[in-house]
Amino acid sequence: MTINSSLKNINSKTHVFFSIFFMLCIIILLIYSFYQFNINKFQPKYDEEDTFLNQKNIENRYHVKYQVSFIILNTFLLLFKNLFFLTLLFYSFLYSHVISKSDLITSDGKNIMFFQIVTHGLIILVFLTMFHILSNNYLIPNFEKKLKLQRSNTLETMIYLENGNKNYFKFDKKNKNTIDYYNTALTYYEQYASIITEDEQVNDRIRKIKNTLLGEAFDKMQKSKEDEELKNSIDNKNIQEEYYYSDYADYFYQHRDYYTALYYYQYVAESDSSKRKEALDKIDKIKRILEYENSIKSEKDKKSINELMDMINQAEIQNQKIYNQKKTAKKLVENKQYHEAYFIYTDILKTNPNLRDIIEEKKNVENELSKLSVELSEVLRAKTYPRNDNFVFMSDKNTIVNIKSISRSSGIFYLFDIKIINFDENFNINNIMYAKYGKSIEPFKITLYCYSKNDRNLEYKPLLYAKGIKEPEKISNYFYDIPLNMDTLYDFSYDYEKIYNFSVFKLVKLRKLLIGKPDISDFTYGYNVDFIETAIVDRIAHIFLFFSLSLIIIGIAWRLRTSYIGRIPLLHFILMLGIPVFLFFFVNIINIITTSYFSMLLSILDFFIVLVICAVMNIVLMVFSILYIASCKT
Amino acid sequence: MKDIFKLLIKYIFIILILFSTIFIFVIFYNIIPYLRISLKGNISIYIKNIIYPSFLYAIFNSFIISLFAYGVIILNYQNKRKFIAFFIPVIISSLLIFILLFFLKPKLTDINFHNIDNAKVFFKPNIFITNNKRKLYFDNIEDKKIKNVLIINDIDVMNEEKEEFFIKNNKEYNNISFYNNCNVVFIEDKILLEVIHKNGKKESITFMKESLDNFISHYPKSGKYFFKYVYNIIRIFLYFDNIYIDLFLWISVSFSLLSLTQLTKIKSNRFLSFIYNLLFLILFYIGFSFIVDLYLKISMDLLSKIIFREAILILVIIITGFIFQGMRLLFVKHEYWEEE
Repeated sequence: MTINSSLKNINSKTHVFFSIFFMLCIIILLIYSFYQFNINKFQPKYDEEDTFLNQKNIENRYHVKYQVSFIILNTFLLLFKNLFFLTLLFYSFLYSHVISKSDLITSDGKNIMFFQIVTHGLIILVFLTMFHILSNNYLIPNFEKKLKLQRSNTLETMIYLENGNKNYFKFDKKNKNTIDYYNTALTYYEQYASIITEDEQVNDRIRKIKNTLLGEAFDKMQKSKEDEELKNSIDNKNIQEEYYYSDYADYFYQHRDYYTALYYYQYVAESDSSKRKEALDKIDKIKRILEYENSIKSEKDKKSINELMDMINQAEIQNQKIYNQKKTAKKLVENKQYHEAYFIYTDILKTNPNLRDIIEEKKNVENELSKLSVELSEVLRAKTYPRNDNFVFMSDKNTIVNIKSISRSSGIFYLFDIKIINFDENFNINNIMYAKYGKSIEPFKITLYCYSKNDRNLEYKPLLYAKGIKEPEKISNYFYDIPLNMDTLYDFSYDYEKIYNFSVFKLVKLRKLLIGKPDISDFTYGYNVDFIETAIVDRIAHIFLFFSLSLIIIGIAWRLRTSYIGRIPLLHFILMLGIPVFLFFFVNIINIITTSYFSMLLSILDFFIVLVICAVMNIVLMVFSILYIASCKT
Repeated sequence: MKDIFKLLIKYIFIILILFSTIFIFVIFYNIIPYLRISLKGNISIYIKNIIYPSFLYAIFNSFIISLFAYGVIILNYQNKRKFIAFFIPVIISSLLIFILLFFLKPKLTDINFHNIDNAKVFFKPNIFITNNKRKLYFDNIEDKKIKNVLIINDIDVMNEEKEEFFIKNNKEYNNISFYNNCNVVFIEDKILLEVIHKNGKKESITFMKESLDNFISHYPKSGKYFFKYVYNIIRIFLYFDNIYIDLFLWISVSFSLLSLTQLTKIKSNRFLSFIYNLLFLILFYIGFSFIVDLYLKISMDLLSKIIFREAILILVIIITGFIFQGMRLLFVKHEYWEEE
């Protein structure tokens, strides 16, 4: 072989080994992920007796439907996390075993230089270093987040399915009072189906329950269907409010709900002069119809004319009352007192549940309420969702926020027992704001106000406890701005391994947002500064280490390359298993030493000084490694 | 003679490089907590607490690693005087260890970095996070009094009637506020903090120094074990409190270690032998103190009256060394690996 052809041979060997090595890694990790999934999978069961929540390790389960996505995500996650180890392993095999003595023999008598052999390997190293940066800052956090979502979704589905099953089997066909169980089961199953859409069994059950409920309350369903049609027809017209009412009036008149029609005609008669005459005519007609209907009733149900007139008059008075109530409610809405308005609308609907406009208004108020508060039943249900406990951070220099627990459901966070403690410079508590429940409204905003749909007196407003005042003060501003988004707050933990789920950018942001710079010598505030700063410096150091240690390994592997003559003994193949074992220890020890060193340094020095030290140390190491590799010869 | 002299110089050079690196490394690591306050006062405290332990660490660790380095880099059987070349590091290191033991008489307590004479203790914010467990953080070694201590995590539930915070967890911490001027007692590696509650009740909370370390308390277990192993190796060599036992233990260990480095000498695959030697070094660090501790525990019950407890240990280690030598010969004889 001439020098060119043997160089070609070496280069192709490098590339082929690179692809084979990483393909092999992916295959091994795929098998491992498959095995991991089989241990942690959640196989849904549909019998009453099956309880999932008592099983061990329920927080790390994955629903069977996630199989494919889990295996792919987990495989690549493991690959990226162990990229440093795998890279060292790759180079140690490539330059000590794969490129052998026979590759260096050339027919034209020229020597192959070391740099010629190593060029393509170095190009791959540069690519891998870049990939290391990318995976550490973008891919790993992203994949971890996705897997975490799968885990919490699975936990939710376990809760929904178990509760759904329990209620589903409690329904008895003969006993009509048990229909409520079906209703509850339906809500749970529907929540389950909102997460896992392709579960045939659950979808079947939803269909079955819906059919049963439909049969049970056919009229009701029918009515709501008609309502829908009416609403659509009115929505399509898109006209003034008064016309709504006349339309509503006509609609109820046609459908023989005369008392409701009376309400609307009365309203039209009072507010719209052009239709006044028509409306009064209709009112007259209604009265006559009611009289006639009364006359044809059986003796038992029949009422005297006076009684009937009384009833009609009372209905009119009632309607007047409703108008007044509606006015007050509107005023309350204008003043943003949605809670009071909500219950006024509820009262009105108790007297006549068919008033469309009130239903619409109530919905609007409910909508507004949901923007600034959390509903009690919602927050109580959230107690069963996956959650993290004990959050304390400083939102500014003089304020500590303490949240007992936060639970998450599809991107919304529910907070329990929130205390916002304000103190002066001598750490004496000025006041404490306390709220029992909270909910995330926007990424950086939480509400501390909770109301109940069922009980007008049940209302949790944030309370302010101050020194010397016995009665806590109720706070009218329900919102609290937190200094970092809920996602980061929820996921952050003081576990050094989990720090890799955050990108350097996010860590820098955390440091900046929360801490500022701790200049008080005996009290640091915010998230633990050292912890985050250590992580930042550590990450930056690892980029350098990745490159320079790979270079050193290339150098060592090349200098100590194999020189087999003939066949490689079988024993040597078995002994080669020692190489990954050693590299595993090596990588871990390097990690421990760097982390502990930076942690120690940061406890006395300024962050930027440590950054400079880190850079200098790593540049020295890199220069040394470059010199080392440059001194290799063939 | 010239060959031997060369080897001698080489070995001493290896020791010097390793010793200086490890010494700087260890001293740098352990001096940092002291640098947080200015280095004033009696300098002998710093010598006793930092420089002397660092010196002992550096000596023993550099000797262990130098044996490996010598075995891997220098001993390659091209020398005519194989026997002398093999024993050079054993003799030199033993001689130096003897000098060290004889003149300085180090004790087990001397290698302790964990002495706390006094400290200013304060709470760092992350005490709030970890599972209701309160953690104190050890900072300045200066004041005997705590200035500001804040316990937030105990606020579990608020008593709305009494405008006070109460603790739910059946504990009787009554009122949460800032405790001023608590008494602190330091005993070797523990900090005992006396907390006085507003109702006059006193309570003592104990903290280990390690648990106060920012790094140790957050790093995964492997990190904690790493430091434990390094610490334990030296502990074994000073355990017996007798110069001659310690010396013979070192001689036996150095002989076996050097034999261990000769176990893998694969001519055609030097990279593999290099990797295996490093792996053996790591395994030695992990396994040695564990096995010796186990032996001492067992022998405490079985051999309590026999004075040869230590002698048996030393003998076993030497025999292990001979087994390694025998295995090497076996491998060479059966041409698993070739002699150079």
